[in-house]
Formats: sequence, structure tokens, C-alpha cells
Amino acid sequence: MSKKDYIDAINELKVDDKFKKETINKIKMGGKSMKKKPHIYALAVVMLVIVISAALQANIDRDNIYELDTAGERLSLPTVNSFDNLYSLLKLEKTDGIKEFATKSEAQGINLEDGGMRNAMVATEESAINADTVAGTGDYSKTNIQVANVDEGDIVKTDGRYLYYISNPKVVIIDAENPEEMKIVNEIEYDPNEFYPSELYVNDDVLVVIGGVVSYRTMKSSIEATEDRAISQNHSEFVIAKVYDISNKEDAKLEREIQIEGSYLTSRMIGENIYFLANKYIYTYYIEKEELDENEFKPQYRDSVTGNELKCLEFPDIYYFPDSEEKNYLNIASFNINSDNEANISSYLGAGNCVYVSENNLYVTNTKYEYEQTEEATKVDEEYKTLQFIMPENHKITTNIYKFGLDNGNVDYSAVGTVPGQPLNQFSMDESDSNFRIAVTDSTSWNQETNVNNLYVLNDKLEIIGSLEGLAEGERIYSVRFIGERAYMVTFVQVDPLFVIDLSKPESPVVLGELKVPGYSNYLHPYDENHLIGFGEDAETNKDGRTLSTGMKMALFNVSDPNNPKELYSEKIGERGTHSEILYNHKSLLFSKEKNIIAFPITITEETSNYNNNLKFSGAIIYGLDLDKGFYLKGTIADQEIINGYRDYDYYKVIERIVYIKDTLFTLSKKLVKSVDMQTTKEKGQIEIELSESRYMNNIMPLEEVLVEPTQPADDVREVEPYMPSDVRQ
Amino acid sequence: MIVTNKMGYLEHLVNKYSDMVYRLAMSRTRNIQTSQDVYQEVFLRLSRKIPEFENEEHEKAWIIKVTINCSKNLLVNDFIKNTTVLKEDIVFETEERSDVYYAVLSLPQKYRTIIHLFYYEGYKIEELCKILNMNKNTVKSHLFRARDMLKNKIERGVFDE
Repeated sequence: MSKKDYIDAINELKVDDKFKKETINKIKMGGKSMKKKPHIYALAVVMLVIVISAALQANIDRDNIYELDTAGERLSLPTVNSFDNLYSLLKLEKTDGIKEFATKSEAQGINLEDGGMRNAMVATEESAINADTVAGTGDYSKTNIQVANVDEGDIVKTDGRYLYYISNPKVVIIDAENPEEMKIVNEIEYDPNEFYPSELYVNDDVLVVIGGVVSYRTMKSSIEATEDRAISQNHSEFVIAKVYDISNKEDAKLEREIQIEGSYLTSRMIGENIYFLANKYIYTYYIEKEELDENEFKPQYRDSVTGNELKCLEFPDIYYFPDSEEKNYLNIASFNINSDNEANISSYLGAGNCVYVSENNLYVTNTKYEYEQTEEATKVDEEYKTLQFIMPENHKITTNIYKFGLDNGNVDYSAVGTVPGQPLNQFSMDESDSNFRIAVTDSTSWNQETNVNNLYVLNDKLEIIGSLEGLAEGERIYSVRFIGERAYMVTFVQVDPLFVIDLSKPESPVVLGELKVPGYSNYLHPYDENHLIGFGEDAETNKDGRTLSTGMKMALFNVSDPNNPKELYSEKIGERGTHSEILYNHKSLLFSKEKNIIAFPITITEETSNYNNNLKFSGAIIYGLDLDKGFYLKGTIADQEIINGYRDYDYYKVIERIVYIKDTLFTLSKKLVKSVDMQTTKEKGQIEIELSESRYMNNIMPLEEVLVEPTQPADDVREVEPYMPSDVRQ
Repeated sequence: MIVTNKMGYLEHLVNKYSDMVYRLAMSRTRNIQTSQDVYQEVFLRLSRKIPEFENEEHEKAWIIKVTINCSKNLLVNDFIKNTTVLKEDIVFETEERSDVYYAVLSLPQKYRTIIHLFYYEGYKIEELCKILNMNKNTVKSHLFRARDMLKNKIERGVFDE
């Protein structure tokens, strides 16, 4: 008897088909309980209403698009202008008033021709990769970033002497000049109810900590609302950037705070300018307009330079993309860390999923699904005496790309473009010679057999000028990396094809070569111009056709002959259950070609019986790479002693990052910072970070406090609204 | 993700998560009728709310969480918790499957849930913390206690190391 028997037994449990249909019908009836079979005519009326409203909706859409086409001015965006318009834009009201105010607001549209011109002059982007992770000036590591000179925030930064590390809910500054005797010189503590740090930047004597807070306010609209909605409406989330003067490390002075509304999307630092983005969902479900307080719908912001009160962005200052119906504000803030000029805060009705930033432009993607629905797709199901839709199985995925020009802290909308399909993450996008390249996975139904992978090249106005479609049907993209005139793409179902795509002629990208090996890479890191390192998992397919990971895998690909890419070496690490943050977050990799170091945090497990595994090691693993011999293990740094598998596992000791200063490696975990010799991995010293565990645990999910119902029995899982933190990458 | 066809999207979700919801409900309630009630309640709640899911994981976790909540409500409200006895009324293809299934069902509810999510849905301990909203050490101790209990119930130890 085994775990497999259990899985097989559970697999035998199936929902009765009739019952499933009945449930779907109930949903279609508006979720009301269906004690007796309703009269068919009543249903017909409901149906008719749905069809009419769908038709109305379609009309509105068409009008909207028509406006855009005839206007022909893609560079100017209309503004929301008033609450009435916002209300109609969000289609709470079934009116055809959209055309009217779209015309009205046209006059308000900003002309961004200048922005467009500027973007046309974008210089060739140098990929971050060649820059290595070593800084030119100092001998210390930097965050593994995508684009050279465009810094990405992370939980740890170093300036060659000090380590700055977020050990929630505080920022610790450690003097690491003497690795044998590290000193904590400062701890910037936060009340988690007011601020929860998530990423930081260091620029000379300025430390910027970006984090969020969930604050609760009683909204007029929510008083009458149902229980479910009251919960979601009661809180508003903010992203705050705190700027510190750290010329004296022992006394970090808070100089400035910039706050925008929404949940944190991502941020970048280019030179002295910081850009950060937040998605603010607009809760609008089923409320009569008269009951609404329009001020609750204005995105709030604050810049301590102009006062400590929260201000509202007014509707005439909020732009919208005419073809987007997102119930969401995309708020963008930018500021110069060394100047007292007021931060630029802008707001767009729209949303962001993935963000790519080059030195001159910011690209935000927003993916939407559309479902086909035709009149013929409805029929009467005699068996259940109810009206039943035959639901379309097909959908259409499109991704809108919004482009903003970045100029010294100013963010100006410059173009919008659309491609079919959906990008995976920031590495799916790239900019080169003012052309924008994006790799997407497209599908026409939920069945993954319809998956295809495409690559598009768009010009500076985000019009498609070249495309390569239909790669690896039935598979999806696992990782992409654009390097100069080539793109490397990994798709996967059972074996991992690595595609090498030539982009030297943007109008006609072509596949130069492909390589099929077992397993897949979740992250591709360039080693030099001819070699790529893939980090991923090895996989096998069991007899049910399910693909299971059998451990981590690191592979070196030789792409010097692009027509014939080769896997030179591969290194398998651990067995099923082995996991590393590098599989989903590129920032956890420490890579330096010069120092010959490939290091990342990992938990290694070994397979015991059948599908079971046992924890063997938790810590950091350090490899070297010799192009003649392959990968070799330089050493491991355990963060805790593991004897009894998971029983010994202490989350607070788990190494999150590895950085180096000169010839010392530092491993950082919430409780402990260790320094080891880079060559021998012998420990030099360590320093503990004090941590109030209960405080930390309570605030891992700040939402739970308000969401817990006080009457729940304590012995089991508490009833809370499900809340999952957003994906780390985007 | 913008849902332009609410019904189509909902039906897609029902089809996609049908078995998952039902199986989890079965492991929690041990009763077909109650599981069906939970099942309907989960999808009706979903249809009333239609949250904006960030990604597929979020979607799945949300539905799992609502399933847990719904089954708990039913269990608390209807005192089913006290009145339901474990009936071995489902016949499985092999004896092994049957044995292991009923061994798991004989565990206390909190252990059944965690075993189900860990071994069947394949969630990692870190993920379970978030879904069940429990401290990591609690999840671990539940998991190990559950495995110990199973070991005693099944001679050779079903999930033995």
C-alpha cells in the first residue's frame, strides 16, 4: 500500500454528472436555491435579458473602438474627467453614453508627441548580462537584474561595506567590513500595521525602502453592502517608498515618504530616479450610483514634500485606455531620490500584469480573455427542463502593451499595442533599437493542446512589424531570454526544447536551431556570448501522463552554433521535492563569471518510498563552472542542521540570498547572517538578528486580522477570506 | 484578467475544479450528501463573488479555501460533525485503495484535510501554511502526527519513510 493507492482511490471519486449540470444551472439562475423546478418561461425571460444585455455590451464595445479608430490619434489618451464618466466606463450602467463622453474628453487628451519622438531616439540597449553581477567600481555583488543600469529592488543590497537586509518587519544595516566580526549598526523598525517593507534600493548615501500597508476605512458604500463585499471594500492598500539619508549609518534619517494607492506591482531605479507601480482594484459590484461616494473612487496619494495628508487624484487627471475595461487603476509614481521636487504621480484606468523596463521606456502588459458567445450556442435542455447555454469552449487571449517614456523621473504615456497571447514574466519582453520584442503563449481553449508559442517584434509605436508564430504546439513557455539579436526560448511538455531565434531582421524572426533535452529551465542566465545556463527541473512522465519533477537541474547550453545548440553539461541536484527560489525569482541567484561563482538558496530532499521525500539539506549551494569540465560543487552552506527531515526545519533560518564583498560570501536568513570564505566555504563569522516571531507570523498576511470571524472555533482552520500573496516575479 | 463572459468563465471553473472540490469535501465531511451540499455552496459563492484571481494558483487556493470554509460551516451548523459516522459505502477497485482511503478517513478532520492537500493535491508545506492560514510548525506537526496515526492503522505504514 502506498501513497499511490491513496491517489488512485481519490481519483475514483467523481462528481455525478447530473449533479454537476444542476449546479451549473443554479449558477445561471443567479445563484439562488432551486428547490422546485422553475417555469420555463420565467427562464426564457432571464435568458432574453442576458442576450439583450450582451448585445448592448457588444454595441458599446464597438462604439468605443470606433472612437479610437476614427480619432486615429493613438498618442493621446482621454481622461476619465468625472465620476459620472467613471461610472459608465466601468459599465455599471447599461447605457450607450460612452461615445458621448469619449468625444467630450477628447479635448482633454494629452498630446504626447514629444514623448513619441523621444522614444524613437532610444539608443541600443545593452543587456544586463554582459555587465556580470559585479559592479565596475567596487568588488561586491549586485542584485541579478534583467537590463543593465536598470536596478531592481530586492530584500538585500550591499555597497561594498554594509549589508542592507529586510528581516521583516525591519531593515537591518550590518557593517561587514570585518567578516569575522560583523556588527549590526542600525535596525530600522516598523510597526507592521503601518508599514511592511518588501524591497529596498541603495544609492550612495540614500536608502529607499519600498513596502506596503493595508489600512482599513469604513466606506459609506459598504455599510449597506453584503458581508462578502463589506470585507473587500473596507480596506485600502498602499505602496509607500521611504527615503532615508544614511550618510551616518547609525542614524538613518527618514527624509521623505511617497505613498500611492494599490497593491505593489514592481519598481525600478534608473540613475537617481525611482519608479514604482501599483494596481488599485475598484470595487464597484452591484451598487446603485446614488449610494456611492465618489471620493471613495479617487486614487489617493501622498508625498511628504507637499504635506502629510492623503490627497486624491481628481478625475480630470486620470487617463483611460479606450479599449480597456479594467476595473482597476494603474498608479505610477516616480521621483528623484536626491531632489525635493514633487513626485510625479499618474493614474490610468487599466491594470498591469508584467512590467519590463529599459533605460528609456516602461512597458506594462495587461492580458485579457474573451469568450465567444453566439446566439446559436443556446438551447433548451429537455432533460432538465431548463434553459441551458452551451458554453463556448473557445476563448481569445490578447495582451495590451502600454508604453511609457521615462525621462529623468517623468513618466509619459507614448503608445499602446496589442498582441495575441500572454507573456510569462518580465523576461518575456525586451527592447532593442527602439523595437520591442515579446514572446507569448497563446491558446484558443482551456485544453493545453491548443497552446502555441509566438514571438512578435513591434516598432516604437507598438505596431507589429515582425512575427514568428506556431512554435511548440501544445506546450507553453517556461523561460525566455533575449540577448542582443537573438532570443532563447524554453517550452515544455515532456522534453525541453530550447529554441534559438534570430532577430537580426526584426521583420522576419526565424528559428535558427532547437535542442530537445529532458526537463525544463525556468530561468535562463547568459554565461557569455556563446553559453547560457538554464536553471530548472528534471522531469519524468508517469503512466497517468502527469509530468513530475524529479529534482532540480542546472544545464549549460552552447549556442555558439545557433543552428545546432548543444547541452554541454548538466548537473542534477537532489531528488523530487528539491526546491529553490531561483525557479521563480531570478533575484535569488548570485552569479559572477569573474569570481566563477554560481550560488543560490536551495532545499534538497531525497526520495524515500514511492512519492514520499525527506528533507536532507537546507541552505546555499555554490558551484563553479569550467567550460572544459562542467559544473563542479565548490561547497554548501547549511543554514540549519537537518537530521530528522522536516521536523528540524526552521523557516526563519532559511537562507534567502547570498551576496559577496571581496572574497567573502554572506548568506542571509531572517535570523542569521553568516560570512564564509569564498574559496573554502569555511565559516568566518556570524551574527544573529533578533526576531520577534509572533509579531512576524501575525503580519505575514496582514489581511487576516480583519477577516477572521471572531466566532470561529479555534481548533481547526480559521475561516478567512482566501488571500494569497502575489507571485514574486510579477 | 477581464472576464467578458461571466457564465462561460464560471462554467469553465466548475468543470475545472469539480472533482477537486468534491474530493476535498468528501475527505472533510465523509458523506456524499454533505459533500454535494458543500460542492454547490462553493460554486454558488464563487458565482456571487467572482474574485479577480491573480493567477491559476491563486484561483485554486481560493477555491480550496472556500471549500474548507463551506464544509466547516455545514459541519458546525448541522451538528453533522457529531452525528456522521464513517460508513464504508464506497467500493474501490482494489482492496489497497479501499484500505488506505478509509484509514485516512478515520483520522480526525484536521488531519484528513492536511493529508489530502499534501499528498493528493501535492501542496508544499509553505503553501499549506498560506492556504490553511496556519503556522508552519503547526502544519508540520499535524502532518507528522497524521502520518504516525496512519502508520499505526496500516500495518506496514502507508506513508512510511
